[in-house]
Formats: sequence, C-alpha cells, structure tokens
Amino acid sequence: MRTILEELPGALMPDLQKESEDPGVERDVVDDDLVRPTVEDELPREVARGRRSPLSRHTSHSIGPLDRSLPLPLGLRLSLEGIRVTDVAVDMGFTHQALERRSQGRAVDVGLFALIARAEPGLQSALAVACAVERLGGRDDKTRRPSASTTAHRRIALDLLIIVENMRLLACPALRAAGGRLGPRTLARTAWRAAAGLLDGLCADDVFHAPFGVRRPLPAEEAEMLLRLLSDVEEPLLALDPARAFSWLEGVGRLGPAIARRLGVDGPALRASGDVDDTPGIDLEAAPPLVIEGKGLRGCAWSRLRVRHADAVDAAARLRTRLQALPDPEAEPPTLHDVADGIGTAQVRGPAGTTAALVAIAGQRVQRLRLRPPDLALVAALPPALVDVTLEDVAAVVASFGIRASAVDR
Amino acid sequence: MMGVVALVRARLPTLSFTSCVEADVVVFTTTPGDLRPLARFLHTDRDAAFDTFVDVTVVQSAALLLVVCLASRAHGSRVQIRAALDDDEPAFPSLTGIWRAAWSAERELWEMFGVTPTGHPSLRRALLPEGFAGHPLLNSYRIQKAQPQVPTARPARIVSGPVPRRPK
Repeated sequence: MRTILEELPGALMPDLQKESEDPGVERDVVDDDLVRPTVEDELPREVARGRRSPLSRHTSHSIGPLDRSLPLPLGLRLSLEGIRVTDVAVDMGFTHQALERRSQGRAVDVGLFALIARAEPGLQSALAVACAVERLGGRDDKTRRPSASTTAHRRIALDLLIIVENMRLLACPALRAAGGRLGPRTLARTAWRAAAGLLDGLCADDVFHAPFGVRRPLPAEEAEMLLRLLSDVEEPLLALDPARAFSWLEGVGRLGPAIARRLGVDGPALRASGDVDDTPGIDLEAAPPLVIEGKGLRGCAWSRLRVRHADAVDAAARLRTRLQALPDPEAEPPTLHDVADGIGTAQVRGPAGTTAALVAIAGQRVQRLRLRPPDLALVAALPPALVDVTLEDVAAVVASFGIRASAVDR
Repeated sequence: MMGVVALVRARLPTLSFTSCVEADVVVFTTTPGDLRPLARFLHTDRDAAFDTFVDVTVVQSAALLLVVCLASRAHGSRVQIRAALDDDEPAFPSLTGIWRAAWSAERELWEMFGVTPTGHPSLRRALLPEGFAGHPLLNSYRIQKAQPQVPTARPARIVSGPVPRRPK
C-alpha cells in the first residue's frame, strides 16, 4: 500500500495535527500560492507523463488555501469505476477570519468598513456590503444616491476584477493539456499579472467600496495612465484563443442549464450551459457577453473557459470606454450617517457569479453581516459535473468552475 | 411593488402575515408554521414566479429572526420572508424541497446558529469539522473557545493499479 504522497512527492499536504494545536488564534493573511496544495497539479501531470501511477480508488483533490484548524477548505472524495468517476462527496471548510462574527456589534461608519478593508473578503463582497448599507441609507433620497462618478468607479473596479479572476483561472496549471503547449497559459498569466497590478494599485486605499461614494476620486492623470497600461492586459488577452487552447476539454464535465439553475448557479457557469444569465435585482453588474450556442458543447468545461475568456475581453473593452469618459468626481461625496435600522440586501455580479450581502443594522451598529459568494453554488455543482469524468480530467473540470474556496468566510 | 402582496392575500386568504416595503424590497413577516405554504406559493404561482433562491440566514437581536431572500427572474423583483423563531428550539420547515439551492445554506444555518431546518433531506455538517461543539455565529459563543483537534486522516482503502488514459 502506497500513499498519494509517495506517488506524488511534489504535493504539499498540511501537518494537520500541528496546524490544529492552536485553534481560534487570529492568523496572518497567507499567500494562496505558497500554501496551495499541488495535488491537483501533480496528479494529471504524472498521468500526462505516461507514468503508470498506482492511485487510490478514493482519491482526494484539494483546492484553495488551508486553515490551521480545519482539514481542507474543499476536499473531493471520488468513487471510481475504472478511470471514470461514479460518485463525488464534497467536504468544505471555511476561512477563519470570522468576518461575519467579528462585524457583529461594530459601528457602521468606521468599524464595519475598516474591518472589511483589512480582511480579505474580496472586492466584490465589499461592494455588495456597501450597496446593502446604501439601501438602508435610502436610495430614494437623491442626495444619498451613489453618483454617476461613484458608479463608474465601482464598475471600473469590477471590470478589472473580472479580467484578473478570469485570467487567473485560464492560467491555472490544472488546465494545461496533457503534454500541451505552454503558450496559452503564458498569455493568460501575463494578462492576469498586468491586470492584477492595476487592480492592486487602485484598491490600495480601498477607494472603491466606501458606501455613498468613493474615498478618493480617480484623477484624470491616473485614468490616462491606466489607459496606457491597459494595453499590456489587452494584448495577451486578445492573442489567447481559448476555443483552441482548451479544445481537449470539449464535452468534458458537463453541467446542464436546468440543474445549474436548480442549484443556484449563475454567472459564467450558467451562461456556458446555454441559459441566459438574468438574475434579477442586481445592484451592480457588468453586461454578460457570451452565451454558448452549440447544443452539443453546452455546459462543458471548454464552454465555461470560453465564456470566462469572453467575459474578460468584454470587460477590457468596457474598461477602456469607461476610462475615456470618466464622469467628473462629485465635489464632496456624502458621508455615512444616519443609516436607518433594518435589514438591507444587495447583489453584485462579478467574475464567477453573484455575491449576495445582507446587513442588519440597529442603532448604527451591525447586528448581522452575511455574505453569500457564488462559490457555494459552484461547489454544489461539482458532483453532477464530475460524474462520468475520467480521473485525469477531474482537476481541469474543477478548475473550470473557478471556485475560490477562500471566499467562504463566516 | 405591492402587487405580490395583493396576490398572496387573494390566493392564500387563510395565511397569516404582515407586509411592508423596506429598502426597495417587499418584506413578508410570518410565522415558521406559515413559512412553507407562503414560500411554495411564491415559487409555484405563475404570477409571482419567485424562481430564484438567493439566501437564507438568521439575524440575532433579542430573538432569532429567520430571513429568506428570493428573486423573480420574470419580474425582476425581490422579496424577503421573515419569521421569528422559537428561542428554546429554533426550527423552521426546510425549503430545500422548493428550491434545491437552499440545501447548503440550510445546512450552514444549522451548524452556525443551531437552527434546525425540519425535513432537510441531508442535515449534516457543511463547514465545520466533526466534533465541533457549539454554534460559532451565535452571540453566546465565545470566539476564543477551544475546540477539539481535527483528526489527521480519514481511513481510506487504497487500491493500486495502472491508470489508463482517456481515449483521444
């Protein structure tokens, strides 16, 4: 009997006993890339090398960052019949920033948004919380409605986020074809890093997600610089042909529109299945550009990756237009005060789907913050998509959903 | 905006609820006992057509308040259903049979708040490890509370053999 680590010596696995010695202690923010287990990379790579590797009947693929007190944020236990998956059991964990819990009792004005800015809920979640607070602040009041400038700034951030996340996905090592060329992955990685640099710079002062306005308007010279640097993103983005690069995934890992809708999946995974993506009442969104037409290929991993790439291309085009016609910043954005007691909700559509936020406020203090990222629905969609997939394609199918397990924080 | 309220009143006259509009969203307040008929109506009635389950969660003030968020693709509108839960044994009828998307959210609610979705088809832990004691999102839970260590490995039967490649 040999363990998976003996077979895949490059895989990083946590020392769980050691990790769980100190539960509850606040942890430092970790770099995903440093702790990301590489089982999902190593397994197909070994198969691709043609190595006759003995593998477990019940094998585990792990994705996402690790936490000191939990087994893994996301583990898949696969039952196999030969090389085909017959059943999938999903084990989830969640990150221990305890954002929802720590927000309880905080003052709305500084406490909540200071907490979000320091934590890692992602820009999309922060925007959703800002929109939910604004709803409670009374959008009917013209003086308290987000200005055209604020909305434009937020959409710029959202477009950049769509490019960053989608290109990060296409650059994922698990999506490299068996013995495939490096080209497409290199292009995706170049676009991802260029876009991530722009987004990091813009979000350094959390300028985009303050409620009722932005903390710092984007100066004209900064917008011009962004426009110049955007070419570094667009060139590799447009040079990448995902239909060809990922053709080895045609028809693999299919998720039908009916089951996707039933599981609450929206965004690119739903559009790739051929359903239109018209979740109602979205507070902030980017227009969905591509719906897969070919019936035989709807809902497969190849379709999802094509839609992701098309979303990024579309976002880059929108970004250029927005930066060229940036509205004048408001003289003095309204400040956050007198938010009514109640429960405010908002939905923001980002790269992987819709993030819903619920904020309950009583006496200017947060009673409850709830964030529901699209990743939970995508996790629920993994079992139906993975059944009948061959073992060597599992990692690629999981990757094609673009799940960020780190988005789940309670 | 109040069209859906009139619809419910007309077609479910025996249902007990109050309604209001809060932050652009129609809010139904009802009891856990009337939650399921109201939810089923909002989902199945063609004129209401709330086909999208957004979220279910709990807000804890003095008592636990269940909040269900729904959306309608056909009408582009959103509603909330709220129900005050019993303090001693908080429970509500599971909505998983109506919206499959409620499946994981209700499991999470059960382990994070100790609120039981009665009739849930697979009520087991979603996020926390086995052996975790308490409900971390309740105000009464101490954040620094010590927890048992997580088991290091699951027993698994290892089967060796060559892995054939997918036919090209």
